[in-house]
Amino acid sequence: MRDIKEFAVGEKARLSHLITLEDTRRFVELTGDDNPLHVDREWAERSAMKGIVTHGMLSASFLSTIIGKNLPGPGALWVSQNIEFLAPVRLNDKLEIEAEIVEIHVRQRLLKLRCQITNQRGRQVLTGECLVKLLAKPATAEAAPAAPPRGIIVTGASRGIGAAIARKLAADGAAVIVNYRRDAEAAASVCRQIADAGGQAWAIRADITDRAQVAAMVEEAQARAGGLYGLVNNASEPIAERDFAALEWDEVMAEFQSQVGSAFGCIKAILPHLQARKQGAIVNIGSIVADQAPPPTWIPYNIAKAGMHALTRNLAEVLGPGGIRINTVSPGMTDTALIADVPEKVRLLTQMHTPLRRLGSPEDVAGVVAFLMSEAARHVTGETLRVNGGKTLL
Amino acid sequence: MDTITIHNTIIEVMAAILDVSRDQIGDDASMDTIKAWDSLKHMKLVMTLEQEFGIEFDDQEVVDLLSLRLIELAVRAKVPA
Amino acid sequence: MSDLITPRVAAVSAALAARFPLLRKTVGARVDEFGPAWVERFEREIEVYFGSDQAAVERTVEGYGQFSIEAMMLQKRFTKTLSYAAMSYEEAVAEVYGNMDYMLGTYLPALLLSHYLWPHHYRQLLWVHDHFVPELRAVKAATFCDVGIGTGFYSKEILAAVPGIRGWGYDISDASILHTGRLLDRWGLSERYTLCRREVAAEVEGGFDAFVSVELLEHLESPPDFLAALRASVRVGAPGLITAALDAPNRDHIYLYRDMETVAAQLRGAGFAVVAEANFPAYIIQSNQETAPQAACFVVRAV
Repeated sequence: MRDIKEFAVGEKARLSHLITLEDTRRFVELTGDDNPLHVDREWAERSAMKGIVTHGMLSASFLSTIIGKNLPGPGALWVSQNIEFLAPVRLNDKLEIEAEIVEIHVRQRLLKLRCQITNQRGRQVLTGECLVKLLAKPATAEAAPAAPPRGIIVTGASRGIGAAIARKLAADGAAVIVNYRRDAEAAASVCRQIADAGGQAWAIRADITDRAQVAAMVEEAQARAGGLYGLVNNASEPIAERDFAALEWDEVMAEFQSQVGSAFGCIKAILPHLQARKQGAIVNIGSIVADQAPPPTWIPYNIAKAGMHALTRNLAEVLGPGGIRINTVSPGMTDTALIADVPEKVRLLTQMHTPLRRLGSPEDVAGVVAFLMSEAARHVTGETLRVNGGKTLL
Repeated sequence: MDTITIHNTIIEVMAAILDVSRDQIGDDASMDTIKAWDSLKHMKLVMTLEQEFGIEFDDQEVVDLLSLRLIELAVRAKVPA
Repeated sequence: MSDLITPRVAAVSAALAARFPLLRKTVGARVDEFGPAWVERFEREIEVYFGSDQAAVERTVEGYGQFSIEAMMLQKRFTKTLSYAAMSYEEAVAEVYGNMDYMLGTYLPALLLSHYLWPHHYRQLLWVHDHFVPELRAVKAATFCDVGIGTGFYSKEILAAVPGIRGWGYDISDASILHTGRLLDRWGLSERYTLCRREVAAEVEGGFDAFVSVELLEHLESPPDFLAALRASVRVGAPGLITAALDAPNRDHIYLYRDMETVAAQLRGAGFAVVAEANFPAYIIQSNQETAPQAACFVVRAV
């Protein structure tokens, strides 16, 4: 598609066409114009025209061909046309159709064309003038991004929701870094499952509360995956139930540091890689406790998860202009080791109070994380997607 | 009272109050799966269970007895083994 | 059920199901019983009162659910003990009527929904339209008093059903006054109504042409005293609607009515002749061990 500045006054385009009976038949079928002058030989011969005259607009329609295909071609929007029919066109006339640019208005993106059609005897059968607008090139058509790097770090991915996220992202084509702190065998097992399914993953040990270890993890991840695209802040300690009366502030801060501090540090560490390519995606794993009445004996966990939600909201505006998206996935009660100590009665009641009548699975959460990491969510940032079977409906 | 007796007694009471056959009360039986089980039948069910087992449910417990499994858990917690 | 349900009724049903699993079949049961006419009426009620304020709908459903569950628990206790944990009038004022948060946030919204969601309340509503409203038209009633307006629901029904009639609403509760004013504003009926935060009195020369007192008697320590005051406020021959709750152990029910005749006797004693009566139980009991709350309804005339 040419730019308006590429055209010049005096530029011409031409084409030829032989007007046949078949052209006339198709024109009648399309328009319904079965005026006997055009279609009834006997009638036409008895008329003042002494024979079939082909439809004027049939000839004129080839102006559309020139404008749409050649001058200006793709992106042309025909704005106005005047036509004077100077002589009848007969069956089997060979027409020369020509258009010439006579004016260009760059700011309005308008071209004025002079048009003419002559027959095989050089006689003008049609003249006219038109205005054609040249539309701007569609932004996305030429802005197709290069394939992003595929590396995604998932913290706490040796089991539970983290492992499910790692498996799902790998299945979707990511090169996954399975971060773990303690259980090397479990992390290796996740990598094996991914490899068996045809995906790519590496287990990297790092205590994500330690900045140096995080930096080393990111560097190794970059090297192994050949480029980093995203981060899932999933790691979370087991929930320690404490009555407020016995709770000390240090415990609250420790949990906050462990979750939010670590997520903050991992984002800082991976950011240069994402900013260099002006693209990337981050997902923070939040929790239903940030939306609904939080369990009173989970205070440190509740506050930390509320912090994860806040981290997303605060960073979406900061990171957005650099092409980096950040969102929260907020699971409800999900069937993992984290709820092993939750009494069966509480689990059953939670199910009965959930519109979808079941607890979530790690795979339920992983699917939504994968969506937010994908191109399909390219215009989604600062959002919280709740995966809780509808529990937060009211 | 042993678990099996508790289970069978609950099933019998549910069948009588909800007017369904014992076969229709599966392990996943709840207000969702048994059409007749509405709030009125629920109160009758609760009062009959209290009478049958010689126990009493408090208000919050009454509201939570939404399925066979939840009823079993609640009754087992109150009936001496 | 889904074919008949309209959007606002569906929203109430969904909110109930989400918050109170025990009550999730309520709307469906009413639809099965009362059909599309019920749905249409309830939809209109929700539409006028709540408009597009979904948050208010959800708060009201919360109030209704709590109120209903509480009523069920009290009924369960009453079935066993056959006595109320009755309050004195002063206690009732302090704990219930004077408690603005409870009245506006729980009690009154719950009552509004209960006119549709509790089957005996809805049957009562239909009966009132069939048996009382024609009486108003027969005597060409131009004025009426509503004593113990509660939500203002019955004043609204009468103002809407009898064009031109003017009403005076009496209640000692600020919340009821506020709520009724709000309800009538939204229905465009305020101009024909005067709100009175006091006991009923003969405000209209010669007495009111008609009167309404719905579920007030059981809230009073001495219903006969009240009925006498009411009689003094209305003209001879004035038709009236009086209802009372039987076997209903609500927190603020002071006078325990067990049967229709007790109410009827009090009405006659106060100078009212019973023209029509009906009893609407909340549910059918199947044995003597059970009790069910009932709405005792009377159309009377002042003699």
